[in-house]
Amino acid sequence: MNTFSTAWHHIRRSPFQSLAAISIMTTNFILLTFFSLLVIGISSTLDYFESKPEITIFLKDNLSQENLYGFRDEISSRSEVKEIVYISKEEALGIYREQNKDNPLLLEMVTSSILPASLEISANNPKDLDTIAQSLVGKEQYIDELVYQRDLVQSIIKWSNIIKKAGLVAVTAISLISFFVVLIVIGMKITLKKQEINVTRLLGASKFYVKKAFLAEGSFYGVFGALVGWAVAFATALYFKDQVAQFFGEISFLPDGYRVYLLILGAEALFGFFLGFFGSWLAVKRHLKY
Amino acid sequence: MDLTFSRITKAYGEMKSLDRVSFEVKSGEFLFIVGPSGAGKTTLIKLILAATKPTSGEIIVTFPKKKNKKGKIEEIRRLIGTVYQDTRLVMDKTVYENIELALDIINTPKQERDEVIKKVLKKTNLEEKTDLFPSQLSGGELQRASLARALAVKPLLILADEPTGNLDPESGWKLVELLRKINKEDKTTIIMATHDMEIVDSLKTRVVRLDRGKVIKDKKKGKYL
Repeated sequence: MNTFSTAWHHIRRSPFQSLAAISIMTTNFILLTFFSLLVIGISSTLDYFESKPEITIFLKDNLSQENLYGFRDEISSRSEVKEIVYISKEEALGIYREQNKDNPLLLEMVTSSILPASLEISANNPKDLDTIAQSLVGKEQYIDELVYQRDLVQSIIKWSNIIKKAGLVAVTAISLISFFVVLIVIGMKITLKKQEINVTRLLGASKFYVKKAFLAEGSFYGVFGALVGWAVAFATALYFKDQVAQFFGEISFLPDGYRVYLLILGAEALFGFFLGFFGSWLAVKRHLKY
Repeated sequence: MDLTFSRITKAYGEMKSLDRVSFEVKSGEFLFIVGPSGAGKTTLIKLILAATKPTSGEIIVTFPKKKNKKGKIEEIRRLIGTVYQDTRLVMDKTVYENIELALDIINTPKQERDEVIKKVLKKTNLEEKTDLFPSQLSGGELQRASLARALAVKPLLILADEPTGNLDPESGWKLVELLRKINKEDKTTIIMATHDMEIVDSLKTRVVRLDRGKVIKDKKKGKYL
């Protein structure tokens, strides 16, 4: 009868206590998986907006080619600028047509002459947006309109920080609850099996022989809870993947492929193991004082 | 395995359960410890198992050379089989599993366990009860299951604490006969605490009588020393 079969024996003999420990662990890891996916999604959203041209300058119609290139080179010489792309009126029309290909009404009567040429500037760091924008003040002879996504990016960063903090607090709280549930459940089982433990010790069992089955049981709750929690969250994410993709459009909010999901599973299994192991270790330390 | 009790005293507060008890038990002996309730019989057995520590004095355990142990309590316990009045079988394990537990503790390889278990079950006449739980056994069967568990580890010493206490006379006799047979055939040392004088008188063997924690008689093979 090895450690695992003894631990399994303990689980089967008091199924409701075991169920309580597994349920709280599962809930913890469902929450943790969703939280991880949310953080990854927000990060992708942020990356998307940060990688997009952050400042768009709609140019005046009557700008000569010489003035345009001079203005473009002046901007691109700044160290904050990562890339600058010129979009001609014809290219703007192409983009417009692509974006509205499903709506013929919007395509009628639209020619390249009514669309402005533009310069799309991306910065090395979103924090440099203001500096770049400030450098454009007084260049009204080139600029018809200036649009940049500072507010949107800052809003996403702000919300991302709030979600990260709230998620961290929630996950920490439920992890602590899981830890204490394992501690209580294993503690109860030790108390119930006091006589059996005494008999085992009188038969010559070492201290570790008695303790290891309880440690294995606690670890099992952690790892199994992580596995089930992850599976539930993964199945849910998979089920809603199309709707999420549709909602976020070009942004891949949920990770593509299985690599990220498997990494989450690995990390959660490890975390679950430590949570269960230390919960049971503390219970063993408290209830088996030898 | 030889045991030497040297001026053992065990006190619980003011009350002395054992008071300067000294005697020796030689390997292969069958020894009865008799005396009324509270005489100190169970305390003596607990002390041998190191389940409690003496207040003063010492118990010297001498092993045969091939069984040389480092003196760890657990390792000494593995050489001792125990049979209690309340059997102390694990209630949610079958007879087979209870015996297997003892074998697991002494690290008997899995492939050898089945053979050992069958052998001890045959010896204790429990072959038909293998898969039953303790709650499904009679008093005599419970004691024999407890003895089977003790025998499985091939002990050098069997400690029996009032094993016949809860048994009808016939079952009690059968158990004692079995212990006697094991002592003769396997040369296993047996220390049996009892207050059943009928059983003690019928077996011409050594008897140590305790009263209020003191050895008042040490009778060898029918004669008082």
